[in-house]
Amino acid sequence: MYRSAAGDEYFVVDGHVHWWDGSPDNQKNDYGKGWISCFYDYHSGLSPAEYVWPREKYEKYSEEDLLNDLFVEGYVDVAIFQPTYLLDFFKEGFNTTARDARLKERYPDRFILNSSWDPRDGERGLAEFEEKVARWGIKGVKLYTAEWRGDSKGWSLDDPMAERYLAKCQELGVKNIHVHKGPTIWPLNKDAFDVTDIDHAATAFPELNFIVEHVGMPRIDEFCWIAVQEPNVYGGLAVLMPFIHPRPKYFGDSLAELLFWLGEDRLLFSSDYALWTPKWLVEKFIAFELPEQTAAETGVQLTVEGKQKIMGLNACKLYGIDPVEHGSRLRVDEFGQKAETGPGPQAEGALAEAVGT
Amino acid sequence: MVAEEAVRAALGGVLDPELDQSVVSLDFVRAIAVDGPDVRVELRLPTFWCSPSFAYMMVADARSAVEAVPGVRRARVELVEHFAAERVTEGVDGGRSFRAVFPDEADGELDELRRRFRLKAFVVRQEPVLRAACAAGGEAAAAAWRLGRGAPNGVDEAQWAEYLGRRRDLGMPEGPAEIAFTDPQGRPLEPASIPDYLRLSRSMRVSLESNTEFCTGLLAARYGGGVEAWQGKEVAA
Repeated sequence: MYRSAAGDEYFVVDGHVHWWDGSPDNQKNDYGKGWISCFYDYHSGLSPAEYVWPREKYEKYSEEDLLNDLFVEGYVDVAIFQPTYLLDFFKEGFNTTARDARLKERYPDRFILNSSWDPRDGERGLAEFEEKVARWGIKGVKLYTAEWRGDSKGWSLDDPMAERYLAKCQELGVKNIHVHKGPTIWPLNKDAFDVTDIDHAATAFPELNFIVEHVGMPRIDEFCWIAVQEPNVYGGLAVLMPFIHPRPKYFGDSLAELLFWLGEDRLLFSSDYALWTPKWLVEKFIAFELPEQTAAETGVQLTVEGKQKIMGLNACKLYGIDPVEHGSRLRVDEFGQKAETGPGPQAEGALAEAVGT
Repeated sequence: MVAEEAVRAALGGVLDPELDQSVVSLDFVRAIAVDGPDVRVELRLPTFWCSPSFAYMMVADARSAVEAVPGVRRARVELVEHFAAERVTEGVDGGRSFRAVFPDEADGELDELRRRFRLKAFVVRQEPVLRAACAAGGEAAAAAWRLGRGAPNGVDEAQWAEYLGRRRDLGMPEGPAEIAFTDPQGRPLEPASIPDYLRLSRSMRVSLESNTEFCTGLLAARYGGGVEAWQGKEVAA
């Protein structure tokens, strides 16, 4: 919950958070070491200096850190756990659903627990996925198509076996498919960040929602071409968000493109915690205005209503959360009682007004 | 003895194909060592995980560019601190093809990928020039603009030269009577379609510029000391 000085209320859903262990004890090899080092450069390169963590903390942060950074200091009402397994790089995995589930089970109102699947697991994986869905009430998955496994350097959403898994998602009501692209994938001579397989899947499975993480970066343009044709494609703003600090111009330019092609109803705020912490992202985004020239050249606006949707209301729709009813419970839980809420005055009913109830 | 400056100047013409910027201006050149007629160059990249396909192109292009410098007998270009550093370095040094170096991970060479990014680079370099031509005399005049007329008002010589260079990369004809602004396949533009065409060009430019900013920021973070300067850099409007 964030209340702006103008009195507007924002229900905040952080669409992409992690609870990882990238510490040397868990690293399996140089790839694991390279992975967490690369993450740390993302973190230290784009965060304001006062929000940069020591490397050791970054490699493995505690649950207290996570809970405090999200729900006490970070204005986050609900966070969506997106797993990243990387079992070839980390002994216990980098950030598995089972690890996230420990917090989900203790704070069920605060987390949405997403799972994952990998078509290379074949029939056995299908059965295991079904068990996970039943056990945890899973409503979404995060797919990392560039994950290495033995000799395989990745997979594609239009692989026949991936279609079996998507069909299983549809059957089980796991409607939200978060897709993450990475730099290494078979075949290596093609563009690894290519997002056209999402186009294929979104057409084949119109009842599923495809949330493309980091809005297809570094291929925002190609992501936009797909999203404009496929109404069930959404953009997760992870990785683009922190640009708001060191490169507000490019942040504004990119956001204007997304607003032009997708519109404000199909964008989801994400911090990608602990890549970045939500506190400063939320504060800066709510204060952000598109430069007049950008707005004039693209014909788009970033309004308070648009920001409310992006900050949380769009995600609420995808995950079936009633922000007013759910929010009233969060206000009085152990985090809600001590949470930062921004500079605005207590405004009863402002949120209900924002969601049109 | 070959001059280090000559080597650096040659590397100035080597582009990151994805970002369409020189490896020198991107600060990817970590070291140049000249030993008589032999030259050794170290290239570094923004992350451990940068796509090996683009890395391979840069290393191979850098080797060719340096070996074209008069007096150079042999150039060895080493990719450093990358997950595929050794394979890329030794592969290019041994004159092997990408497919031969990554037999299990690749199903072809890099020509198609390179062309894909040359098409993007063309569109992105064209956009400000074409906008200036439209501003000067409207879409119809822009569609009929000939190369011999030179750069539209408001476009500086360097910008014009870059655009001509990207046309050349695609093998487009260069005579003075040639149409200056075509689509990347070389087809003339319909005046009425130019606003929509430019709308798409803008998206491509914004994507490429943001990607470039991201990569330079990561490089600054990775190699220490540069973050504050990078974050504080005034962004040219």
